[in-house]
Amino acid sequence: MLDINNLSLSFGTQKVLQKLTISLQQGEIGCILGPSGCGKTTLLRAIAGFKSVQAGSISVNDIIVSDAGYKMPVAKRKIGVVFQDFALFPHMNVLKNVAYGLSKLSKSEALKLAQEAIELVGLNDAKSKYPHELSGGQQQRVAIARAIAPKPDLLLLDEPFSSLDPDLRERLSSEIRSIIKQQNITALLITHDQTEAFAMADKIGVLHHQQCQQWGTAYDLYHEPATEFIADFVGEGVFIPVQVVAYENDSESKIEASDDKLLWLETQLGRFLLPQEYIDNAAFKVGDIAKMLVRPDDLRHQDESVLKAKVVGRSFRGAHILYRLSLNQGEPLLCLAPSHHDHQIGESFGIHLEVEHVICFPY
Amino acid sequence: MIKTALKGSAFTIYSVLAGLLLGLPLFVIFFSFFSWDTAIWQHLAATVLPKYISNSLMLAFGVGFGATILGTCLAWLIVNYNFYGRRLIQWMVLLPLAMPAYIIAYTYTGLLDFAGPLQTFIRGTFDLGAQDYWFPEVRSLSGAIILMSLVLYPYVYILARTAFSEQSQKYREVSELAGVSPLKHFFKVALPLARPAIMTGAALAMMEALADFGTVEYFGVSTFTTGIYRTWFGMGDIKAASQLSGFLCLFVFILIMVEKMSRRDSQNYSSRQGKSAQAKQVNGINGILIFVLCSLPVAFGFIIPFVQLATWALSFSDLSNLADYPEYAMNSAMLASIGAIVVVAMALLFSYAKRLHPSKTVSGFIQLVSLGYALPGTVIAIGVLVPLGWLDIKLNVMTNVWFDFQPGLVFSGTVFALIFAYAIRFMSVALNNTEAGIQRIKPSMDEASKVLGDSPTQRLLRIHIPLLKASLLSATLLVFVDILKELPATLVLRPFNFNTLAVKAFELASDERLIDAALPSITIVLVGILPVIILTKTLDGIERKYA
Repeated sequence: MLDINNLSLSFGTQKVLQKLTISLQQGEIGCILGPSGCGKTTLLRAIAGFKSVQAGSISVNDIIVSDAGYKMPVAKRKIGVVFQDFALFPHMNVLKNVAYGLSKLSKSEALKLAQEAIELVGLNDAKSKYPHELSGGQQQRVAIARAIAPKPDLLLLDEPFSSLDPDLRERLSSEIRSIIKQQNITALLITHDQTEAFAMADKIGVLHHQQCQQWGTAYDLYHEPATEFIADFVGEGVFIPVQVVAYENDSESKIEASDDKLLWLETQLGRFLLPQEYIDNAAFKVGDIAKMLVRPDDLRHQDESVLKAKVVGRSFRGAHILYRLSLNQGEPLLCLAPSHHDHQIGESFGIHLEVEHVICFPY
Repeated sequence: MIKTALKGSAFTIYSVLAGLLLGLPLFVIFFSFFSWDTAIWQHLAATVLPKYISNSLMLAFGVGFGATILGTCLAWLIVNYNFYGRRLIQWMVLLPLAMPAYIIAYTYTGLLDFAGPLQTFIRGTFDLGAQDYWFPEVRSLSGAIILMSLVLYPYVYILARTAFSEQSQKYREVSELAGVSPLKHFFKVALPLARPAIMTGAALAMMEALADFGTVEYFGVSTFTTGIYRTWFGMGDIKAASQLSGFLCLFVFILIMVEKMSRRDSQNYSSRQGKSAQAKQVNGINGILIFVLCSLPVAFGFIIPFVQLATWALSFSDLSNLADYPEYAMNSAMLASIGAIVVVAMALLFSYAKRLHPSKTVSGFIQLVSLGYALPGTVIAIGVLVPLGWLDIKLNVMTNVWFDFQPGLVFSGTVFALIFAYAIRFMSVALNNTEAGIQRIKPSMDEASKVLGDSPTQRLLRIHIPLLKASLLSATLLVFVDILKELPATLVLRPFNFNTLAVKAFELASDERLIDAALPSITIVLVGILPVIILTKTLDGIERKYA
């Protein structure tokens, strides 16, 4: 549906994005996640057609809408945009705002489509109200209704919930998601808020250093981050130092040669098999020092474990407590334990590392 | 504690007393209108009233329309297009503000009448006689409408420009996404959003048109202001004059309502979000076209009359007429200086009283004394004359009885009456500055000064006045220039044989001595450019804020 291929964007001589490639299937919701100033708004404006592209291409429904020499007019693209500040027209009521993009249709048809869109976002009672009479959440719904009323091929949402308070943000985001899904609309949203991205999106791309570091599901991003930046940026976790060693299969005796290619990662918390893809890529060799990602949920609370870590910090999160632990004065570790395992700072408890996805990077 | 409270209430008492004093002429006009004299009205209705009403309304609506068209188009072009010479145009476009309507009126009369350069040129070139061709008469109602639109359009332009430049870039993008053409976007979004601001500007321009005396008197168009002047000066009938003034005030109050309502609307309409619209670069022929289009109003509203005035002043002026120039220039400077200082000082005290004790009473009086800007000078003059004349009579009777001595017209026949009238007419100009300035001073400043032991008076002298220096200066300058330009109230209230630049320019022009009138006129215009420069800087500041 949406295919962005090797896209490069720049402002004058300043490069904003380089070689970005992402794609969305019909009905999928994508999300571009990144800190402010990373170029995500620029990307959105390029897709909408407000900005020309320097290299690569953007296609919607297999038709190229932008490439280095061509920019399809904005109005021809059939793209809807929900702006960050909503950009509702203050002199028009809700119905007129929503019907604004339907002026090409006959009056009755425009009215019908606008009514449908308003009903969809649940604002039937506020049809004749003006934007300044609406709450932030209602304004947001109007903005969505206006964007989807013309039945666009692609819906773009620019930080759609950033001006709402956190409580409303969560409620509205799941509601908006179900509307988009129900209408089978393909949508791309941009945000700096991970929870929003995880709540809304099927596929997420993280922008950093002018590049899309990874394009995948929230699960992939969290459990199989492609770069160190993503590992650090998405979710919580720490890196622990590891050494690459070679052992004979399941044996305790270290071997010098690595003919059988069985490499292990030796850590304070145990030994883990280096996954095959690292070996295929020849990413590490015996003797290398690397760092391994440990998520708080990888580290289990286990009373019988011989490894005892001291609590140096804790934050209560309802069902769980996130502990900050210190093991042999080493790097702090994070452990998410069920909250009935209640330990105070200074106490020690047994821990056990269980890593399903071994992720490591060069030190 | 008690002492502090008393000092604070001293400012409140001031604002009540000063408010009552400045409100007095308003009450006089108001009540005289309600002490309806049927005989006077029957006479007026049978003779001049229909003409006054129709001419005044046509003038007001004509000027409102003309100023709206010119101001809105200019603002739209300048906000949305970046063309070669735009910065120059941005500055020049406000220049007509420096050109009083009565001065542009007689300048164009001189330019366009039978013996003027244009008609002489036409006759010479095409070898025509006096009766062989038709030429529009400048000295007419439509002439007044056109000329006043040319100098009053900046009222609309300033507000429309701010409104257009505040409009978020996103609005244009929404239209683009919806496939709405730029022209349709202008009529469906940009113009409706700027409508309250444009209406406010139009209402202000219409107030000025209703208030005008010099142009219509010179052109022989009978309106309320000329009627009031003639009724008082010609017939000495103060009663009829004040009833006419009251009638004129009805129209003015409608305009004030329109203005206030539009201002409120524009607050609802201002979005203040996101980046404002970016100007589109236009080069080549189109750029030149826009430049020429934008320079037309200022060319006709300022440059052409200015050049004509300068030519007259420099080359044709009779040197013997120069002899009394220093005298009336000095009179003007003195009057404007005293007036400006008095008005700004009073405004400062009003604003400070409101800050010390923000009560409904003080705010109410501030609103009352800010109404004067809308009232025509002629009306204010009558409103000042009635109570001061009464006071002078009583005073003379009293001193005659007690001391066998008559001091004469101590209040109504001196500079006092003039300053009084100026204070009413220009208080809002000064208040705008002092109010805005004082709001920028953080409340913590006052608290710090209070904690450190300052009395309210000390605080005013040590904290507020030093911090307000810039606002006070610009207020003083604005009022100074306004007084310098003011004609009708000065004409009615000035002491016998007391001439100012404005009065002299008007009298010389009325005597068909246009060339001699050029020197005092161009003096007024040149001084009038100063506030235009300040205004340009302020507007640039606003625009940068939203860029």
